[in-house]
Amino acid sequence: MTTRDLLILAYSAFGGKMRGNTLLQKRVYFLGVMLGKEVELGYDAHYYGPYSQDVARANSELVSLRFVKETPSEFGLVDRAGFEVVRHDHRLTRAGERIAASKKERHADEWRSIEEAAERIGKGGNLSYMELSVAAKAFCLLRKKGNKATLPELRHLATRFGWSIGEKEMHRAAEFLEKIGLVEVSGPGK
Amino acid sequence: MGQSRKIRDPVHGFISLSEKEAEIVGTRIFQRLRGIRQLALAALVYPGALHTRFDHSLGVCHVSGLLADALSLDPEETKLVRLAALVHDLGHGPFSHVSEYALELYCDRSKLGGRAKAREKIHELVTQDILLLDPDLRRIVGERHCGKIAKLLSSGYGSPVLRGIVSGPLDADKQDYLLRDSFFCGVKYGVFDLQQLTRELRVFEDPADSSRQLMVTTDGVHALEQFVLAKYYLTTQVYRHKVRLITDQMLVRAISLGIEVDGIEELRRLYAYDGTRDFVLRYVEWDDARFLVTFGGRRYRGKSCHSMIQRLCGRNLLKRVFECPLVELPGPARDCLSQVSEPERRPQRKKLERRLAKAVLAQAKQHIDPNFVIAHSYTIKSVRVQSRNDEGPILIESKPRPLPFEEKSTLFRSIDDRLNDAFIEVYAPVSYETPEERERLRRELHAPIVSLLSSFPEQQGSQP
Repeated sequence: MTTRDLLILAYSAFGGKMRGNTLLQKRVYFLGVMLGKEVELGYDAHYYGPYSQDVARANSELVSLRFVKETPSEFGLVDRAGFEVVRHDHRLTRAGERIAASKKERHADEWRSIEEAAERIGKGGNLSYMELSVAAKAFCLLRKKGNKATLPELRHLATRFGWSIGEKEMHRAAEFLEKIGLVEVSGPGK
Repeated sequence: MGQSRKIRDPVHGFISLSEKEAEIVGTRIFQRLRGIRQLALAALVYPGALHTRFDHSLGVCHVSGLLADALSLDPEETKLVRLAALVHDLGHGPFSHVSEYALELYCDRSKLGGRAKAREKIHELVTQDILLLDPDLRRIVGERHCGKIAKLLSSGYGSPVLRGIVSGPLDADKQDYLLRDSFFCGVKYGVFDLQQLTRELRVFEDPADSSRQLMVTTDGVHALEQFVLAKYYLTTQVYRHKVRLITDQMLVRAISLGIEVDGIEELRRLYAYDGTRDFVLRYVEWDDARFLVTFGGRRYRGKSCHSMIQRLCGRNLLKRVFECPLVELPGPARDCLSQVSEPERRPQRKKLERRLAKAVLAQAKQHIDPNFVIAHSYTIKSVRVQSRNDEGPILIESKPRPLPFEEKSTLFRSIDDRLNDAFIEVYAPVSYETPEERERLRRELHAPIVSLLSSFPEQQGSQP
């Protein structure tokens, strides 16, 4: 299965739309983590959390083939505190939905895993791109240490990012990782 | 750097080399790069494009030195990135990227065991092999350093900044090839302010884990925009020039016909990478000229491969008889055809080309070799998309924290990036006397080819 195939199935599993490039990158990252494919998907560490040029390219291909419609937000700042100044929303087109449906049949096993992983990610909460970025970066850094991270470790780490993250965002990011089973529930932070 | 030699370069002026670098340049393995043109047969379009991987490698070494100095890397790190930059293209075969494609096509990855990760390109493995096997390089650089360089060129070694200089969105490779290809093609599209971009580079330390990465200051944003535009223009005007697309496809077809139809064992052995020392020893004996003389020479007269190469030598090129944006075709065809040029889609492509050949034969009423009919798909990304995917994540220094380039550049933010298209083209060995005849043939072929392409996945059965 190509990165493009996985991405179109990811769209389908997440309800057919992604609000902004950052959200798309981070959702697919977590999907990759759960499927054990994040390296294959080309994710590299980045200041604003894991990023994959391959995923970005695959998304451009889907747009150029008109399987995904891209809509830039109105010109101007959408987020003063964050790092996404102009947001690009993406949505599967009718043609894209049909292609996704045929790929679900062709890659039935993979589709089931993607659907399950997306469901788990969904259960983590409806996070903003910033919250998801905090979670992705913290998880990526802590995983390098080898062990499963704990909530207090995660919170401590996120304070050092240098981003404008509020207590609420940090909490939601930590909660997300806990809910999807990527951090251990332990320590006073809980 | 203890400098021992200065080489005059048309792009950068004088390039200074250390004793060790000069010694590497003098080796047989490095001198071989003089025989491998940077842009394959682009000289058939831009007569000046005769520059080689040799001068490009010297340029990359020079630019990586500029970057290392601008970032105040320590002398050992500087030495390492310059050496890595100098040898980064040693694994290129005849006609550079054409060989890259052929290596992917004829290498059996399953034979390489754990060595070839799915994402690793075969020509990069060849470069690593050369570094670890070539006796001259091992003597000059030292076995340990050869290993470090091989690592830096593949997964990375030491600080990510070093990797950023040899392979990344702002790497020395791109900075040199844009300027060099522009210069030799005689186009002005690839020009950007190298000095300003270099001057405004910084190392940013991530407070979360102290990892270091490249960053550009606010004063460097315009130079970076210029760099991205240069890449876009050169892609559309040179790298994706229609004649260049045809010549590259003809070379690839000559190789596959030689191996699959003519059964030329010598050619198969050139591209069937198996990770052995014997392969590398054979591979490094080849360059552009030897390839053309051997497979286009007397020994293989009468073979399809020979015939295709003779066409290239005489600039008797295949003609583009059909072109169409993929969006004009139904969804399933679009999905399938957009990947038809990928090495792993070779069986589907063959079937499609056989059908296309019949259609061309029926309309052109000329004798044509069906093996010479080529279907090729490619994408032209908008400059905004290109910048977003490749340069987008580059950090720009700003307060209170750095921002990604795609958010910081007013110019790129303002470009509508929905213009992003994929195309399919068909090349065939037809001939015509006048432009009117050409237009007539293209007109007559359009409907049957569209109909054939539209039903492509159904006709081919299930996809891989």
